[in-house]
Amino acid sequence: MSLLDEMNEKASARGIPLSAHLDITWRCNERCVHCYLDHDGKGEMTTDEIKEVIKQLAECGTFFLSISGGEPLLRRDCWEILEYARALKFNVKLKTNAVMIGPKEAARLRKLGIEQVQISLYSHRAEVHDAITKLPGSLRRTTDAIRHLKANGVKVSVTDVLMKYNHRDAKAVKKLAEELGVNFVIDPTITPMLSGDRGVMSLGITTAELEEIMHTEEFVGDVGEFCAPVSSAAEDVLDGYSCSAGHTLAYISPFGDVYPCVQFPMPCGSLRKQSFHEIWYKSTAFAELRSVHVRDLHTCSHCTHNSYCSRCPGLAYMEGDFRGPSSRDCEKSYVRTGIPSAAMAKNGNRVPQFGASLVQISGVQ
Amino acid sequence: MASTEMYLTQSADIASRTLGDDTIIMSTLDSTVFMLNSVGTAIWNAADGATSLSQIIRERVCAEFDVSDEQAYADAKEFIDELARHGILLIADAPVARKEAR
Repeated sequence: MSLLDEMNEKASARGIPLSAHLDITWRCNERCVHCYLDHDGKGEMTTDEIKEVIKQLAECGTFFLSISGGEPLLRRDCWEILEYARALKFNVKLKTNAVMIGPKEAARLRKLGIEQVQISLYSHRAEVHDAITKLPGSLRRTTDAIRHLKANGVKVSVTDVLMKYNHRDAKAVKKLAEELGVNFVIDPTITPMLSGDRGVMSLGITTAELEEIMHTEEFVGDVGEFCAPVSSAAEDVLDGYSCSAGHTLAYISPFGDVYPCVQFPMPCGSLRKQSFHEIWYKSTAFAELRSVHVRDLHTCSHCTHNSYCSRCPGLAYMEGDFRGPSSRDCEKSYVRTGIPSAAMAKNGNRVPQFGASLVQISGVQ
Repeated sequence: MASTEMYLTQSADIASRTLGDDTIIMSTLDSTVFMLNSVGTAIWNAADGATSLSQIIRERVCAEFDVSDEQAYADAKEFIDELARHGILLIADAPVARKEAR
């Protein structure tokens, strides 16, 4: 077990929120076609409020802090926030589209000791990437920024969100990432808008396209090993949890609302009314979430895929029931192995479809 | 015991957090990770650049743990040298000023 795994286990056993994702704004200078956020900045936390939240996170034991948005660098106080977080010795990752990062900013991020800069890259072709971001010149500006970051020794990871518009470019994006000397991740999941609108889901790749991705060596390594069926979960897995959301991970919106994860819009409390400590340890929503083990999941507990399925309780929540399956993850397990999930078996071996708006994110009252 | 006094300062190029008795430290220069036990945590948290190592040993280690001054100092020296090699702890022979987050 690595030291980081050991730390995660200790944090989980002690109920410590080891990781936090803090969106400091939802405003953005890009308008990505698949974005799950609105871009309203009204009511954002002030600089002092954000610093107070960061201080409270440090006091609760948070070590990993992702500063994100929207585009976080659109806030004039973003640098002050980053400096404050580093002064409190957080391991800070910055999620940005990087179009505002030039040589000076890259050097400043290195000096601050930012652990990693995470950037989305949708294509190696400007006509595709820029059409997705709706910002002309964004591919050039983003790749220039990556070069500045690399020249300054800042670690960079690029994520390629796969959509019907760009999935054919994924191999070329991986090659571009290799040329740039940065980490490359593919993400085939489109997240419903936090307003509850599922219209963006139509941008996602089809089951057949997902299957092709899952059987491509460049993306998954040894295809035979990756796609081999595994027997269902052992007792210790059934006693565990689907993911870290709400257990060692919290998400905080620019308005001070706390959720288990950015992809899990179950309101847990408002930092404008309560401390983070109070919300994390006393919220009934967090308590309910933490009471559910894999063995308590009505469909997934007896699914053949449950030992390796990436079931997202947040996506399941947005489909109406966080104890239920997440259809996208059923689909992933199915295309990997060719074996329908328990949820699919209930649905005539088809992936359940959710067309309606089922759950809406809301501020904490 | 030490022939010359030693003052320890946590490097600015680290991320760290104390969780109970343990402390996780990650170098922002090379992502090296260290996990300190309770004795290491006591020394780390006292490394303010102003308190001498012998005072830290006396007040934070020997007062809290069942260990002699000599043994504690020898163990601490080895641990400090290891962290210093990775640039995580800075060693000086005189007190150094300290910056607070504001």
